[in-house]
Amino acid sequence: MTGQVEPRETAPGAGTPPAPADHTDRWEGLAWVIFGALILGMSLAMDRLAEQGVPIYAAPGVLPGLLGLVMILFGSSVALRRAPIPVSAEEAAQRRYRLQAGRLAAVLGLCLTYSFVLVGRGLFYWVFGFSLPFWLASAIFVTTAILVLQHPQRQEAGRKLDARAIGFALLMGISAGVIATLVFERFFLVHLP
Amino acid sequence: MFSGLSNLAHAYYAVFSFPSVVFGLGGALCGIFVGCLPGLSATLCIALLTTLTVRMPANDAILVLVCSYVGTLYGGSRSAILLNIPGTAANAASCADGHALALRGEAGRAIGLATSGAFSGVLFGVICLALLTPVLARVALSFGSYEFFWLALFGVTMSGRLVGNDPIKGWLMGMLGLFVAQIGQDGLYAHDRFTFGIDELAGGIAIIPALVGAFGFSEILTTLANPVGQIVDLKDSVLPRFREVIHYWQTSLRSGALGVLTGLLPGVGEDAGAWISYAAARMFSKEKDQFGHGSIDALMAAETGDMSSIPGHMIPMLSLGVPGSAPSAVLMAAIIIHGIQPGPMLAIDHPLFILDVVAMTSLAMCSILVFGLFLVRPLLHVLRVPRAVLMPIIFLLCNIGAFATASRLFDIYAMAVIGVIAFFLRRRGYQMAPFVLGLVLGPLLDKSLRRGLVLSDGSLLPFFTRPISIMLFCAITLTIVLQMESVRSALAGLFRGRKASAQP
Repeated sequence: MTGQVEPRETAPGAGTPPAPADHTDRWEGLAWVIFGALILGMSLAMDRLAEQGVPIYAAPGVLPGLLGLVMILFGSSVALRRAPIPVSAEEAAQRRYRLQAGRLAAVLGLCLTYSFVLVGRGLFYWVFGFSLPFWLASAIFVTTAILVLQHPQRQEAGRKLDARAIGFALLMGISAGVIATLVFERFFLVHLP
Repeated sequence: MFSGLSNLAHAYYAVFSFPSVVFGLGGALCGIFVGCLPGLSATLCIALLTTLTVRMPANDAILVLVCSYVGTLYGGSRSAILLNIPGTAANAASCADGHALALRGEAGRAIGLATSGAFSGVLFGVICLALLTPVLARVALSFGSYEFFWLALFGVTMSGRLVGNDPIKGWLMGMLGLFVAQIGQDGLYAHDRFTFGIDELAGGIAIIPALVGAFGFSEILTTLANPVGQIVDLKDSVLPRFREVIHYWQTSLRSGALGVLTGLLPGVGEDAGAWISYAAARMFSKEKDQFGHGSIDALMAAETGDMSSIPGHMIPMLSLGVPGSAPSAVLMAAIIIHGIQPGPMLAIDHPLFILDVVAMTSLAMCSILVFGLFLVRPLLHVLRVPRAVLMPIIFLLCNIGAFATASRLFDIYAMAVIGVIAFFLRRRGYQMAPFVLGLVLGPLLDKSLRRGLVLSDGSLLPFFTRPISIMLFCAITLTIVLQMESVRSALAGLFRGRKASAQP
């Protein structure tokens, strides 16, 4: 008898052979070079605190500047290497998940909405003038996320969104929100947003 | 010597007394749950538990964290054996042989032997932790800014070299971590760096929100993007036969020693301990052809190696203040939050703390034996929890975890932004472990470099002339230079030339 679970990754070297290398490394390398140059530029422009008698080799921008320089060197190395490193089976599998882009966008949207909009004095507060209690914000997020994430499985099984599925998601959402709030605020004395 | 033994006995008495045992068992169980779930790492578990235990007394909180660290890496072997997916990266070496045994209907035997391997690994590591940490701490007292600069750089370089299959990307992530650590007021003159006038950035990017983002949020996104797999059911007993465990004593001893040795190297990570032990076991084994097809020797070696590297990583973390792996980096951050500064001064400021950690790790070792052998079937249910239900709840905990230490909403935003960036970087083959090492070692690197330069009046010579400094510099240079394509092809050409001239 077997049960279904959703795995995350494969063992290195197990399963499918490594996929052929792609050349997007060049653009990545270029991005690192630009990022490194920005850091280097900002470090050079940083106050050297000379008026406080700080010697130039102890200025706050010394290490960030060096890091920017190293990023430029390594970034160039990534961009200019002749044979990009072949990607591992795991990485190749991750790159194939483009098919699930819709699911990914939904998860990303839900999570960012929770963090930036619903929790504490987020966007919700600035729009409506009041903030949601933490347990309610969490309950809304967990309920919606469960319904959205279970949608593909329901579709596969040919089932429609019914009262039972909504009830289960609501129960899980409210339980998670209320229990997390009670446990953290009352038991661990953690102030929640 | 007798006072040392008396202090050790006192530490064991304190840790194995009533409330502490409950905290330790709870931490280990929590770790095993997290480890069982593919996609959730020891780093995330420790980061989340750090915020949960922030109001607890220091020793109780650190006990929970140490036990969860050991529990998570142990729990990862469950999914490796039953699903062929390592619960954490450190369990990858156990996959092939553990799962092959499970497919033969010997899942229980595999779990039992993995448990005994893990137990013996931690036991060996604990002995080394007790013996080596004070010695290394004494040596570290002679370290100056120059040595600490190279040591921090060595940690990031080694981590970048050994994690993943592209060292340059690993080093870039290490540099990124070091850079993120520079954001905020600098440690010497409190000058704002890269804050862009944002007040919240003046305090810097806090380490716990950054880690929760890099390991929590990005892992949630990665886990939810994956397809469905199958779990092998458990049919046989998990209690290992004593004779079978004793039969592999050489493997246990060798893997324990290799795990501790790899743990001693800053930045190497637990998975290196497992893979090196696996390779050594294969070299010495009489059943080489069985490796990868259900070899007990291989499974024991991998589990012993990765578990013994946990105390191994704690040795440089406690004595030098340089963590050996990403989870030990978070553990170090948590220890600092609780007012204890790991490093050469630890033995002077908190002389009994090292012994406390030895006792805590021993409790963790006993916990995995108890839970590993007697709580097998309930733990299997964890593997069957639908991800669609679990992941939103974990994200909720990630938000609380990011917020709880400083009660700043900004930390939640930082966690979310770092999580999204980390997710896309991981998809492009960039590993998070060097980033974490960079983040933790960034302040040490910055202070050591500038202090060293001030002490030498701007001269770089002491960085290259002191014995330990020059050794570390050579190791870093060799690690980087050997990755250069031109150097490697030149070396390959040299070896080919020698071989050709040796042939008649």
